[in-house]
Amino acid sequence: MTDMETMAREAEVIICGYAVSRSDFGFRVINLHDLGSCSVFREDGQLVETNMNDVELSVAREYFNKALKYMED
Amino acid sequence: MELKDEVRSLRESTGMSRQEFAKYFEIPYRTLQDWELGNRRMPEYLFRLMEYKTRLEGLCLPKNMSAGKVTQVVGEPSINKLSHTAYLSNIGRYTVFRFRESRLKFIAPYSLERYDRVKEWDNGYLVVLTKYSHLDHLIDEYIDLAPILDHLVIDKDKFLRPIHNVEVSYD
Repeated sequence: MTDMETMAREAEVIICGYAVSRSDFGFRVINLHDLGSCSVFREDGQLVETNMNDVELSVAREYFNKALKYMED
Repeated sequence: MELKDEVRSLRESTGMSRQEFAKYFEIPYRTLQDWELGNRRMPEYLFRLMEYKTRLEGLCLPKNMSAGKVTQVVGEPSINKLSHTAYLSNIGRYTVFRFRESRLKFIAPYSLERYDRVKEWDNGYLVVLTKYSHLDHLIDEYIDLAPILDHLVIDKDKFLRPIHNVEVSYD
């Protein structure tokens, strides 16, 4: 069972409770306040998969775009 | 449905008058009135936020108590919580998989038009008749939910166990 502490530790950037981490399948954005809420994006911002509703998805996308600026290559 | 109608439907689903609704969301009465009458266009992102807040705070009345024509929150799927059936559809090039309160959305081939019929469901593995725009006939498409659930940090067994069958549904 993945917990908040683990997800937070594995994140490269955390913005307003959304943890962004890089993986071989894309960039995962997970809501640390609701671990059931997650999205995966490509580096160009295209959505790969999500279980968020449209409102939260737009919020997560915005935080992902901001996080990219701080993530090292 | 036009946005002005969606705004009105959302308000009516709460059972609130225009005045009450405006006061609750701290927006001028006249602004809400203009949005509902179509005199001014409400920003779509703002409507989505209000819809989200409405749902989050449980403002919607049960169906048998609704005073207006709308009996459920706009956009809220009417899926029986005890159902063991999941529903498959697509929005453009994204596949949508709905089960009870969960909704997965994941990328599909760019030429996806629509799903026609589920041929097989085996604990996360789907075979579904599919129409692609570059083909003039239906073909079998294979969808494996397991890696998607892994990527989204969803417990596969817990998610898949109660799903007994999957149907194509665009409702």
